[in-house]
Amino acid sequence: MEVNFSDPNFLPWLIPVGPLLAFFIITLATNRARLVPATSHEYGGHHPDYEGMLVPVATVPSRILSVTVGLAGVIMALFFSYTVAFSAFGEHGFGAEVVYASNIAWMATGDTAFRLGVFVDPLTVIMLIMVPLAVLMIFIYSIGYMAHDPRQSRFFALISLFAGAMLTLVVADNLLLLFVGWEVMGLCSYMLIGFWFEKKSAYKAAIKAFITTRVADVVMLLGIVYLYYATGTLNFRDILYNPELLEQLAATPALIFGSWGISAASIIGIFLIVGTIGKSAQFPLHVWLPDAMEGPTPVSAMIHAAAMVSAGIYAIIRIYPLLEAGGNPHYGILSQPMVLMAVVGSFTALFAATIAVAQNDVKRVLAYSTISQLGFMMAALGIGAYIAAAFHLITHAFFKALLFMASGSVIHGMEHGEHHVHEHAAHGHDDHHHDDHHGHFDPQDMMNMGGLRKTMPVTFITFLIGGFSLAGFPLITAGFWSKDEILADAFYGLTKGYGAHALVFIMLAVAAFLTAFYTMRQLGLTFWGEPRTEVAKHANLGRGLVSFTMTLPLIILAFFAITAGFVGVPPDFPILGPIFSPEHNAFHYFVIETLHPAFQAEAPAVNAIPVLTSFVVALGGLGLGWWMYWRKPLVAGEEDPLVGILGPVHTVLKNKYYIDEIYVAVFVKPSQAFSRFVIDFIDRGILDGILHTIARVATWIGDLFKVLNTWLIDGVGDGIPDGIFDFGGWVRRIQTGHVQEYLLVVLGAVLVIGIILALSTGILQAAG
Amino acid sequence: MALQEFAPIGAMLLFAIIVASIVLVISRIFGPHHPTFRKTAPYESGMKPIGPGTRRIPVKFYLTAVLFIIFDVEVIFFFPWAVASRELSLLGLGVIGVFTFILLVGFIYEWKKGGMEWE
Amino acid sequence: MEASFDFWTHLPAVIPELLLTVLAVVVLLLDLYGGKENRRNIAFVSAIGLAAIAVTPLIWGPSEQQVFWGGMVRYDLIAQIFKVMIIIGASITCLMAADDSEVGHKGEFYLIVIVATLGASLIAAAADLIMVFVGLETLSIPLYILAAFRRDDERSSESGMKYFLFGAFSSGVMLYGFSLLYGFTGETNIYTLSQAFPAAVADNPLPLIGALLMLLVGFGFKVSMVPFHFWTPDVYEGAPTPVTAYVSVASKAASFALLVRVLLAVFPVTLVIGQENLQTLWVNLVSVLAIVTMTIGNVLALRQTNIKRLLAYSSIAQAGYVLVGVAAMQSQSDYSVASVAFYLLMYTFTNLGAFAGVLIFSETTGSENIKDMGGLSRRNPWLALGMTIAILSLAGIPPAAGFFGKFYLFTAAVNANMVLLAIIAVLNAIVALYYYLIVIKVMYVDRSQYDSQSIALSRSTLWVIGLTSIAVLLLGTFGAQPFFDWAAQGAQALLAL
Repeated sequence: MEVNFSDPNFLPWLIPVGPLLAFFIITLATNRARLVPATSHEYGGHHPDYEGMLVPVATVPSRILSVTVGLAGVIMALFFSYTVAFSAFGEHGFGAEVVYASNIAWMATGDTAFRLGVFVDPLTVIMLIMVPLAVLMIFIYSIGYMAHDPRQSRFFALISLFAGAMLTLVVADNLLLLFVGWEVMGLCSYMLIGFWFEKKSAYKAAIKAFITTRVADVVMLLGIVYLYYATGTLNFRDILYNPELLEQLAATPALIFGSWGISAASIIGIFLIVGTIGKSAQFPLHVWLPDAMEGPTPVSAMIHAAAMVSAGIYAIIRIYPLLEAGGNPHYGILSQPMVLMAVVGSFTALFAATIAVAQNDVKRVLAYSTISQLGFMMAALGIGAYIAAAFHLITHAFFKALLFMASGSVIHGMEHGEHHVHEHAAHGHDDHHHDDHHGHFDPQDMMNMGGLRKTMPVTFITFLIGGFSLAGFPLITAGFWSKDEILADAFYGLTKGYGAHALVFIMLAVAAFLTAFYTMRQLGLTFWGEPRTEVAKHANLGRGLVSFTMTLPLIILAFFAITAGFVGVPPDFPILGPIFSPEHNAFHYFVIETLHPAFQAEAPAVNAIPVLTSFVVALGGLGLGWWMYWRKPLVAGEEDPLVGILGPVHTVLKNKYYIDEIYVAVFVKPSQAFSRFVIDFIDRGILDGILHTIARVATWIGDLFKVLNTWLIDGVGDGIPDGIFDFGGWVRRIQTGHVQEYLLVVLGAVLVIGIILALSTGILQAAG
Repeated sequence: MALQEFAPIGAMLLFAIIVASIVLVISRIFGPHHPTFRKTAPYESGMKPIGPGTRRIPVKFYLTAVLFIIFDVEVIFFFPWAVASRELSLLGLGVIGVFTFILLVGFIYEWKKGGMEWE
Repeated sequence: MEASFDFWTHLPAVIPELLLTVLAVVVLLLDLYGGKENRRNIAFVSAIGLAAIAVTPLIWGPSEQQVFWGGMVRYDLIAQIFKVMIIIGASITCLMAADDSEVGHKGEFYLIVIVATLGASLIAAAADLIMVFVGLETLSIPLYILAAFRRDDERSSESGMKYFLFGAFSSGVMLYGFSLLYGFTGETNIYTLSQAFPAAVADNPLPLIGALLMLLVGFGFKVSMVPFHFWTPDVYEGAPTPVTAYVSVASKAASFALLVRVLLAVFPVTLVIGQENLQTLWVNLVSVLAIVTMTIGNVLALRQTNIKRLLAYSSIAQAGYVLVGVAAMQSQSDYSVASVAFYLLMYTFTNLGAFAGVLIFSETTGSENIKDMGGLSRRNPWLALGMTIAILSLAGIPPAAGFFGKFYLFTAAVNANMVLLAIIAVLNAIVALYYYLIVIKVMYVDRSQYDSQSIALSRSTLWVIGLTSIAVLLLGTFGAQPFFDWAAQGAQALLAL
């Protein structure tokens, strides 16, 4: 194999290298930190738990180094990704006949080698366009956001690793490598969510995220193992571009539940989907994601937009033909995994949207909106709207990254304002920390905001653009086009009378309406009206590098939040169709080649009803939000009008349907009780007993060998003199050291071995 | 049988072992055996050892002897070459030249390190 | 010598050895004329020279296997692979020694290492009993000197003496074995010996068993196989650390190369004397010795408190694992030989890395106790990382190379239908985890009295740690399959007569 990195077949290997290298360099090169008292201002103020301790603070050189290296790494990734992507655009028939792939034999397993490699097809290409760009924006944003954090270099190291893992996952040509990237991201998310581990809520959230996703990952791993068992390969192209194999899988009954009519393909699909349900925070494993807001805001953007949750959806889009196997969504025949996706997705979309309506925390609204939007994609896949799901994944990544970073700016601005207020109130004591709101004031609570458009105009406008895109404001935003495509696909099925499609259409339409409503509510509460607190009056980003690096990504992403949609305009759409898609729907045309021709489907013709539905729900939701929160903005101390309208329902929504509480009661408490039982009785009593016995036996054997060793060595010197030969003792007295005894042992051993060998061959007798 | 050719060797081995064992065992069993402190002392003839048992000897003698032997043995290699030098022709000359060179380097090393100096 | 002897066709077979001789002379002259203050540079000259020589077998690779120099050396791929391994090991040893306060500034040290390497590289290719013996002695005698190199240190002198006595004894026994073989057949070439057996011993294998056993004593001593291992801990502990590293890798690799070649060539599968297939004999013998070796090595390692002693017992255990591969040569020999070669290749880098870590640690703190390594991760994270990689590799945990090394060895055993042996080996590997992971735990979790004292890495040690770590990681990930394939090619060359 000729390795030539100007060849696009090999270039993908280099894509994850930059960030991964950056991780290692930063980790290894910035290990020397300055130690300051925990109460120091540099550490962000007083920490009661760390009283009297010295804590590390990144030095200026390591700050500069980590920022430069991290940025260089991601720019390198961006460069290689775009090189690959643009050369892919130039290939005729890319995806169908041509893909970029190269692999190496990684490990011999029996007769065949497990091959590991990289692989680029149209789906990968669109991810390669989105991921590095979004990640770069997040990096630039982090420069300002984390500028004063004591562990800045650690942050950049971790986020580089995160990006590297995501890119590994994207270019992986098999499920195992994908899973490796997947798990590394899980680890990074754990460490980043708990980045401010001084806060109890942060490390609890980290553990929650880690354990929840782990539960799902175990199931996913089962799926991978089963798939390997059933097919002997994990390579995407080998499995997914091979309709015979898929048909055969769909026809084989599964090892478990096979008698209930579940095929091997279905059970594998379901296992893999469970992995995604965990990673992409779908009901019922969505609980970790809102809590993940405890991490620094760039991390939230990373998790919610560019990387983690996208990875979940990407994985199921990637393996879509396997999920579809045994059914045909375009004729209303859905395989079990697809039904699962349709139900879970549409339910989650609606369910999370309702919760988002009643949240007051600016980031939490966005968190639930993410869950809801991911539900859209999942539901779309469930009804076979493959392209629409991929399209929404990309547009959502842009506007959600934008929204998170804009909300981060808002929080940063509020903290700035709080600082200002404190200084002017001359309280003297300095108990303020980044995002650390153990005090009485919550800079993330929208009820404390209002009127921010005046002090933070750039943030306001970009937030508005992102919000409108999320709400699917008709025609000009990216969110409209992708959401519209999902609804169009669902409606097409509905016209044919397919139940699942109808369910998805209705649920998603309602969810889209709620989305538009809570977006408008959020915008209204945050930016419109007059400041409701003193802090909000002084909220701003300040000047200089911090404000520049934090606003630049917003502007760039805002551009994409609008324009990214125009690559997927249906060609037969009135007026706009001929403008943006003169020949064909560019996105559709390109990405469809990812699938084997047997799975490709034409996009349905533009139908007035779903388009109008999109218009109505988006504008209706926005209008209702405007009517409630903009027309007559809230003033300080006023209650949210929703409380009055919804009454007890609002309480339920505000408490997220009490799902956390239910989980605590159903899973956490019993498992804690069980653990206690296990510790007290089984572990301490039975297992420890056994283990201690084993340990005792092991030490005893060790002792025995030790004794035996001394006995063997010394024994030859001391023991044999009492026997026939007085040899050893004699030798011992005239020479020093023990070598001779060693040699005696050797001699004895040789004799013994020789005699045994001779006897065992029966030769001695024969010869004698 | 080929093994039979080795039978005398085997017999001799066996004989040696047996005789040695017999001598040791018999003297151990029948010999008078009254070990005392004096008797187990290095020189049990009654002389008290004076000073350490090992005497200091100038290492120079050894050094000279060792060096002599090394070069002596190496020079012996010239003889087979000299006997067959005609048949070995030019190649042989070259090889012995390299050999001599290496020897020479060793010699220089010895000289420079002061191996030749008596004091 | 025949009239048709063509010097130039024979030359490529010994190019590395010739260059090693030249390098030895150069180093000797540098030591004399280079001036005292430049002594340390001799280390770099030697290291770079050796590294350059390590490349030559790759450039002048043999197209087909053939014996040269009157049947003395065999010019085949497996010999070249082992030569590369040995010479690279020597090169890294020199680099490592540059900063050793006791041996680093002595030009003779490098000279002796190079000469030992010359011997090791000769036995890797030896095809004649005489060459085997000459090579072994050329390897061993310098090693005795090296072990006793710190003349003023009691432990070092003692270890040199022990090593010498033990080595002389086993060399003698082995030589007796050689003389028996020669006595039976009148042949010394190991590739033709086996054909002469039937005529020599008719159908009685007993003399051959005796000879085999005596050969095994000699090789067993060199690879520290139980029960010929007693010298190992004492010598490893007493000898200067670079020497220990060298003994544990280069000398061992060369000896295994020889063991594999001699066993397969002299006692091949086809050799049946009487009703007895001689191969089953040595396979059984080696299997039992493998089990004993790894078990004793591991169990004794459990209780060590000195890191060098621990590595000594660990190296005994590792030899046991390799013996598993040797025993598995009874069927599918090329896979087994390749697994042995791969294991030794990765073990070269792994153990050099580990010993380099120990060297730097003991140079700075003057201690070799495991418990004093507490907090190493805070005192020098690079060093701790390098050590961790090496130890993970020894323990056989991916992504370090040791995993694939063990994987191939045990697979070879399973392929040869020696499932029980493989199971025992795996159990042993699990036992070994305990003492390896303790070291890592101590480095990262524990604290020690030296905690605040930071450890500096010089450039040369940084190179050693860096190179070995990268090599270990490479062999544990992408490099595993290509290098294994390479070794498998070599294995076929070894078997092709």
